[in-house]
Amino acid sequence: MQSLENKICIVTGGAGGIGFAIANHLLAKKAIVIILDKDLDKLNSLSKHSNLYTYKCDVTNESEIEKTILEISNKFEKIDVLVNNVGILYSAPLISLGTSGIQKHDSLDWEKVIATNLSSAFYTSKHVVEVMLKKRIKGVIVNISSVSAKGNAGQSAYSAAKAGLEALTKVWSKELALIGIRCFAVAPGFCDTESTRAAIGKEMLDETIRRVPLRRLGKVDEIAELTLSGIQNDFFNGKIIEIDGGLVI
Amino acid sequence: MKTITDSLALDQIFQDLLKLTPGSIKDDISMADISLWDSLHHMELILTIEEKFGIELSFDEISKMQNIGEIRKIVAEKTNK
Repeated sequence: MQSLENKICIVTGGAGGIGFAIANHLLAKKAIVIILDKDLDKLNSLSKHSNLYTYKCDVTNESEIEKTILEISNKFEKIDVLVNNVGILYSAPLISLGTSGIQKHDSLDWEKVIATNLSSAFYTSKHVVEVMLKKRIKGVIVNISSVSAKGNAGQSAYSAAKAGLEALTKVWSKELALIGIRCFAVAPGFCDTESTRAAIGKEMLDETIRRVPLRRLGKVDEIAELTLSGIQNDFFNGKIIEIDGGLVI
Repeated sequence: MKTITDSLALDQIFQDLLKLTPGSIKDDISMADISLWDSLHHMELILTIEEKFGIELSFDEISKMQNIGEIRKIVAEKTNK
């Protein structure tokens, strides 16, 4: 897939942050980009582009995904690329001792993080791959993971979800290669996004930056550039590319 | 199949993907007989045949291609059109 011109590319959670940067880089390569996001206000606020289409869709709801992917495949007749980007950053220890005594990780929060970061990719991919197979498209699935997949203290749910996503990447790269579909993951370190700043306090963020050899947060455009190079390289499959300024070595 | 070359090409695909030896490619060999011939490799087999012969098989045809004989028959029908 050297050229992305007129390729149909879906980006989940693409209305902001890394997803939106990936969408913009795809548009710059003349791809037709479809952003799925559950936040209608965010979708409506995106600047118009003749090759940009948006669908309101909660990707944690499989029946909603199935309906949306069917609509997309009917309208565009194929799907070439899926970027499973949607995710929420969530930090909470398994157990902690505060002024109000012992606090345990909330199980509803666990389920929400797993549903958003992991199950969404499973649901979306299976319906998209069905379209690719029916249309005989040798497409690409990209999973946006995180360096937290290696296990960050204080991030049970988020780390588990991202590690699961990396496992799916390896499984799919073996299974789907048989029908010509590639799969890889991009695992960014801490990036300068609204969600990072909202999820991590300033003190922890400053401490994180001190631990990054390059002494700064990643830029979403840097993640997007790397993602596109993986999509365009037909021999790239099954790998997790870390891009974190040297944080995890 | 139009030619003996087509028949040999199909046999070559069975050899390459299902690891069958030339002498063991018989019409009655089915998915149940070969452990390597699972649902995943079946998709690979179908797509390889489509690409090699420049044909597109319907899902109805694919579901019938459960043994070597059926595959030969359906590919012959498609390539003779």
